[in-house]
Amino acid sequence: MSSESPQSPRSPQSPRVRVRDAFARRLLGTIVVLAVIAGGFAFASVVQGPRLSAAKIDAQRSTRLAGQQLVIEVNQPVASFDADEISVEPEASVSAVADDRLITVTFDEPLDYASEYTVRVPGVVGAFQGVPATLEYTFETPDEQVYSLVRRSLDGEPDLIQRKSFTEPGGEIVFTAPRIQEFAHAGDVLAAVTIDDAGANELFVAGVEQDEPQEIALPMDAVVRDLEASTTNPLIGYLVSTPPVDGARAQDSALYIADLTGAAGGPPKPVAGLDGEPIKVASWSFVPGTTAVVVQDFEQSVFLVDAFGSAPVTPLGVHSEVRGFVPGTSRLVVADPDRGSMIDLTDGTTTTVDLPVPSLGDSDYPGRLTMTGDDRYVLSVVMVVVQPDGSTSIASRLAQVDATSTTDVFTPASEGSIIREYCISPNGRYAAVTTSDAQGRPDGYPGLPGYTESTMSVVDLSSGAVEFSQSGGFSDWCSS
Amino acid sequence: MSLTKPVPPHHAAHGSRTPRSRGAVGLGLGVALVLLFVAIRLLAPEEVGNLLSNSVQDFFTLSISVVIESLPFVILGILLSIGVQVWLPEGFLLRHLPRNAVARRIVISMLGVLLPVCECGNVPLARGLILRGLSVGESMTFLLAAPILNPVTIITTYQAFGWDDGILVSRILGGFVIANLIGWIYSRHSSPMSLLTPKFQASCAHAHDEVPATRTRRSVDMFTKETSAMLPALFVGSAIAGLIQVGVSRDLLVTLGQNPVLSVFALMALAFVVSICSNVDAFFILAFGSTFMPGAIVAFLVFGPMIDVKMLALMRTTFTARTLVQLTVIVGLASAALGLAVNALA
Repeated sequence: MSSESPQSPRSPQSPRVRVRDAFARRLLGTIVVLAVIAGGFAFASVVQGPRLSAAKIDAQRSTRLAGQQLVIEVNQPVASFDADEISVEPEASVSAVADDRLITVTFDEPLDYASEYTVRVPGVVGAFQGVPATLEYTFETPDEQVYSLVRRSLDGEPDLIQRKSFTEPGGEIVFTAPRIQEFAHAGDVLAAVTIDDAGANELFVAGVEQDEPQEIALPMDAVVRDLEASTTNPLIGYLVSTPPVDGARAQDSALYIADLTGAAGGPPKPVAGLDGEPIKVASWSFVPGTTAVVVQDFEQSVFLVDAFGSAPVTPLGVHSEVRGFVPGTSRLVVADPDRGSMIDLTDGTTTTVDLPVPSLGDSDYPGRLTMTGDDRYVLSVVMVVVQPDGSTSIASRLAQVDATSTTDVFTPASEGSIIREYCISPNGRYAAVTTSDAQGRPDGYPGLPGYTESTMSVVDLSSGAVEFSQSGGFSDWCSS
Repeated sequence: MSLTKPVPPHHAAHGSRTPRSRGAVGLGLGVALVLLFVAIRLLAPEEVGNLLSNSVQDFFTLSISVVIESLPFVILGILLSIGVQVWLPEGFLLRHLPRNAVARRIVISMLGVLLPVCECGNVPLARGLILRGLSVGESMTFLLAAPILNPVTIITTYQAFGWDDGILVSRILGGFVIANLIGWIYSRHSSPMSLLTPKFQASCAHAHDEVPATRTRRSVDMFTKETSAMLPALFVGSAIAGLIQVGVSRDLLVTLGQNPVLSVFALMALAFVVSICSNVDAFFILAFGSTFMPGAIVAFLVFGPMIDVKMLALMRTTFTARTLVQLTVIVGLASAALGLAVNALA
């Protein structure tokens, strides 16, 4: 074969050589292009700061419990960040720590309902990149349904339980019965104590979206009171007393806890004390975020009891009054004749509560107070008003008291209306205030009596704004 | 006119030892080895095992684990290869592929959906496809794409990572693009057969020689031939993988894994060494998921199924060393670019 042959592999003009050159060009060109691309992205990775890979928060619990955590996962280990410069919108008090690739932001108090929160963590420096970056994460908290009980049996109509939320002003009726004594709800499951024609109590449980309520069996002629629901677990509790027979009661203020999921198995059993016998409960409350309850017996002894017996009964001392928990926390407020105390159930420590003194007028009389923080509380105030003709009348208002001021947060809109009751939301940011106007009269219910012509207003404690109102009273916030 | 065709030269060039006699000797040696190991296991005192150092024990454990994991897929790949070569009608595959080169490679890169075997099983299958008329570049496209673009791999990757950080999408798209890129590059090669080993070239040259035997007989012969080509390569590759794993500190890899740049190369190195099958590699790396950056995981999941110690050993039965170096460089660079891009952008 001649060297000049066009088919010769040595000829620079041969198709085979051209193809070989094309292959070599493609191969080398691809390698160069890939190397440039890889180098470019490597440079971009090095000069940019750390980035947020993922973030996680239990938004539902964040509106019910203090100390909920937003866990921000960074794409590399965190060398440092400006913990003191973390900002939250809307404003919320936080603390933060970093561990390897995680920055944990802890909210000191429960968050607001139906709000969009943005958390910014500035000055985040990665272990491998010296460029600081600001990490930002936005999440939404869930809406809150607020329930109220409307008693209409005096007008010949069935009582009803209705609910309305911060974002759904329309409201809906979720349960009706001829006479309803009280109710509570755990999530979308509603429990209601009704009164039958003979005056006996019945206990029903119903899914809000379901039609047919299920009746929970009660002892014959039992009286049920103090129905409450957990704000974080599908649990309800209630006190049961049976009529005395020969001077003795089979059930005497026994606390029953029912697991609405049925996971506990079997019918509810009474909560037992140190001696294994059912405690005669004067007052009780769920510990927020747990399956434990705090009960006070008629000797004023207070105990911490796990509803399912998974932890031993813990005595908490003898106290004149149990005033409930600081919203969203495990800090129990108790009152004694000489002082008030706060028991932190997470570590058992007790601190004396030095309540700030409210700034009240000469004709103002303090009523019930409810702690909404370690150093602030909501106080109902009754006022004696002297009319121009010299007669006197009664008025009322709701005030928030902290270390620096006493601020009125709610006054009934119409003259003559009286605050009959108020309860604080699980996140401590709102109050459900029940008022009844001048025509209101006692409704005559044997257990938990109320007033006719009642209206419940949901009040923002920070601004005093009324978020919404609905007829009735006995907000579910009073039974949680 | 002879009633039978002459036996091809390479079939006759075995001297006095026929394949059957060689097979019998091999079988005898194999049985003898197994009996020897059984005897050692039964008769030797248990303390003997303790004499082996931890490194030696690790070496055997890691090497054998790669073999055990890969063997079923190699066998499955060989069976599929036999199916393609012996049982599919002549030209069936080629007739159903598009004529346009780009479309043809795209379809070939999707063949893994129909032939879901691990990457080690794809080597015998790719050999069978070359013998059935696929070009070398196209067979490379299949070889590199099929381990990733097959339902088992996609499902296990989804189970492991869901849609997090675009890992699944990056893996599928990355595997597809790289495989087609390789096919595109090698489609311009002037002498594709020179990319193959001389031994495999000889097999190709006689691929269409009709052997006077039933399909079953040809299948058995082919099974013997493929296993004798693949298994030694698998054992050698697994041994090298085990050896490197014993020698290279995993702690070092994990430490590097948190650097946005080095993590990509660290996990590619890990993928190269551990030689884990593409069907299960997502679950393997999931255990490191919280440690490594997403781009590094993508690089691991794309590079590993295409290039690792065991695969190179298996592919060396078919391709020249020069070709494998080129493949490794391109796939490595492309996987690194992909991983770095994910780290920079995702």
